[in-house]
Amino acid sequence: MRSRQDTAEIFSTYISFESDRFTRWLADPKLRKNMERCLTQVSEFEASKQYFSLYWHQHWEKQSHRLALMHLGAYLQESGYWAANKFSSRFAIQQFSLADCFQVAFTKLDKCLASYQSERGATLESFAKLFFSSTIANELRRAKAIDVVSDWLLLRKLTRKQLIESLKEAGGLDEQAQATYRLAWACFREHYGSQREAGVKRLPKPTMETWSAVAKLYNAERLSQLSVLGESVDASTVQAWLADCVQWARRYLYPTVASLNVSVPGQVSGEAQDFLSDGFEDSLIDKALLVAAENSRLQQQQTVNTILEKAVSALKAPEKQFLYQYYCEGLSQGEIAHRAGIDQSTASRRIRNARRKLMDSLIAWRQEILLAEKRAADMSKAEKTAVSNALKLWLQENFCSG
Amino acid sequence: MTFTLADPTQLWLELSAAVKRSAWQHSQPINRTGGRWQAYLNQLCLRTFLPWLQAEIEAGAIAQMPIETPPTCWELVNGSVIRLGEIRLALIPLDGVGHDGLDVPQEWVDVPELAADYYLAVQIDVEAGWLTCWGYTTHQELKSPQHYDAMERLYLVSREELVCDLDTLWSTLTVCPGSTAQAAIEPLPTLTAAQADSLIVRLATVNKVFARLSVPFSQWGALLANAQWRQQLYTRRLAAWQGEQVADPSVALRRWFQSLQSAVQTGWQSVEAAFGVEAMQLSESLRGEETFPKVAQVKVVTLGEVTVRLVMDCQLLADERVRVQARLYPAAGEVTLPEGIAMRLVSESGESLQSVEARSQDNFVQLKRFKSPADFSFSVVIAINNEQQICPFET
Repeated sequence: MRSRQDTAEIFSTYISFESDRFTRWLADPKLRKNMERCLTQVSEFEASKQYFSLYWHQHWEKQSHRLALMHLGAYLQESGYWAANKFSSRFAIQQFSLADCFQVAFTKLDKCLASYQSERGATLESFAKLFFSSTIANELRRAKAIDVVSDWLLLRKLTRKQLIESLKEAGGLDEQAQATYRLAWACFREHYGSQREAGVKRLPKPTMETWSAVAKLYNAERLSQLSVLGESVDASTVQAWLADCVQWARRYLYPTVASLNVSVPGQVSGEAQDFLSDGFEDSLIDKALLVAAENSRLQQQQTVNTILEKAVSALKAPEKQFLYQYYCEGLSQGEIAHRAGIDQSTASRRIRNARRKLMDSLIAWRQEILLAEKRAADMSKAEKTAVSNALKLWLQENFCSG
Repeated sequence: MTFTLADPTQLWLELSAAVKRSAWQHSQPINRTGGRWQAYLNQLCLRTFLPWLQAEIEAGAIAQMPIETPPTCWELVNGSVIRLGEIRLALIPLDGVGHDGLDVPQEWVDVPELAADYYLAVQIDVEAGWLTCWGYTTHQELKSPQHYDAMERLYLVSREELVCDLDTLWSTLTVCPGSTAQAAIEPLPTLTAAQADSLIVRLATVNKVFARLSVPFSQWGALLANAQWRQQLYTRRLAAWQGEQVADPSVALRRWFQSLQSAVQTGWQSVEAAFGVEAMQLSESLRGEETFPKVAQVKVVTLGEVTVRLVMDCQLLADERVRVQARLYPAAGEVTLPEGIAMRLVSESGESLQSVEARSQDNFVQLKRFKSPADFSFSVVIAINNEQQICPFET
């Protein structure tokens, strides 16, 4: 893949796939025109991709404008490609091509942008790499699992959270209807389960007896669990309800590649006309603040680097070596153990210990800052995730190249 | 191949054959499909995760409810708590696909005795034989009205709200040991022994499958927080599902003296209620040394066609022992006991200590009065024609 250099190109072109391979960068003329306009308004110093990534991200945050989303989508093409490539090249996952993985990543573009905080030190591009990888991993994990199971087992293997979400996304179900399905599902799980230690893999289909038991339980429980009781039901009704749940669950669990339009430039250029004219407010962004934000991001990153370099130099030589083999050379824990002549559990424990020592140093640093600012000593979820990302990125980008 | 989607920041542990076997064995007493599976998952989770935690993070980590005791909690609610000194980690096992979020039963959040600091999402794939701990959150972040699901009394969080790097947790505990992450929890109202007993009886029937959702949360939480009550509820529910005649919970005699004057023990009534106008006459015969506090309670016992009244007349002595007099009277309106009805005093180990049998014209029969030492358990068994009822007591 040819990497893009020109700032205008970075924010206005999309990857084109053919036969599951990168072929070329496709320009979206409207995005291109808009970038050219923006570039005339900034100094040469500001005309970097870093500046514009913050610029469009702020626009997206402030007015969640589609134009900003399109530019950011273009900018993050390489991050998505990198994450998708990592999966499709390392693991043979037959049912998903490189392009599928890439598209899966972009279904979560909104969430990725919402999670990004520049003051944590990472660039949006680096952050998106991590975010997209974990998105793809989770989608593949689900798809892999649901591909092989029958309808009723799928329902057995659904988590409560997934059921709730798929009912919400099913469309047209009000709260009472959702509650009805949830109760039916809970009753189903109570009666349709393994009688064996080995699990549910070879669980036969539910029998009529099972459905009757589910219906009976539902009829009793609705008295205490549902705010609107509804009719009492028989076995076949309950079975039909759960068959509906299966359909909704599959729809929810399966990556929704078809609903995408962000990464397909041809399809959106028709809309471009609209979004360029529909009150896009350039003046919302304070350019001086953007430059300041970028400077503090760089400073933050520098601090992280210093802390981690110091922490790595305090590691014992074999620990350092294991980390390098694992994160940089991509060796498996088994291979590392074999080379060192130790067993795999020892190797894996040493890798974990080494990583934890690096983490200790980052956490200690954040805690010190929190204490100094006299805030509660507990780090928030966002703060911990930022530290985790900082370590991941440092291992990938600094440790391995250093 | 199984581990191809593994993220090095998540913990992957193998479920050994030995752990699977013993986890399954320990879940067998539970006769409900759903309850047994839940107990099995929690056994697998705790028996695999805890040894790892002890080996790599904190040697002193212990399960809040010991693994080897009966799985009293898991028939009722999903999850378990591990203590690392002052810090409590709740493990919430899920056997579904994907890492899409976490549902934490309210018991682990809003019951002060059970609440944790950190909540770990543990995905268990029984068929493939591994578990992974892939994310966590804190009590402070979890306990928010926007996460609460009233229908199933859960706190629900999505994947995006969890921290997916466990090392941040272990490092936090290393760097600032003892840093709790618990938000304030409202105390639950306390239950009296009589209220607890009555709840236990209500919940220990086969039509209360989802016991945790069958009574108001404050009552349920207070019941579950007490290990003894939890044990009683578990035992009685097991018995209910095994189709056994449900044994009565043993009546703690010394507690009678604290609670019985006002509240009535389930299944028991006052002498006045059970005997009506005969009560005056009866209480004459029950009068003893008045220097010690005294209660008499009556239970109506039905054995097939036969109904009789068991009167337990107890006195709390100065040395904590209880003097017990058990008498059997005919049903209200009857003058004589059915011939051949027997009353036996049976020790905890099942040994028969004394017995008495009604002849054709007996108005009542009684066991010899005895003094029951503290911590002594016994039963009064009433039997006729192959039918019997066991009334357990403890001092």
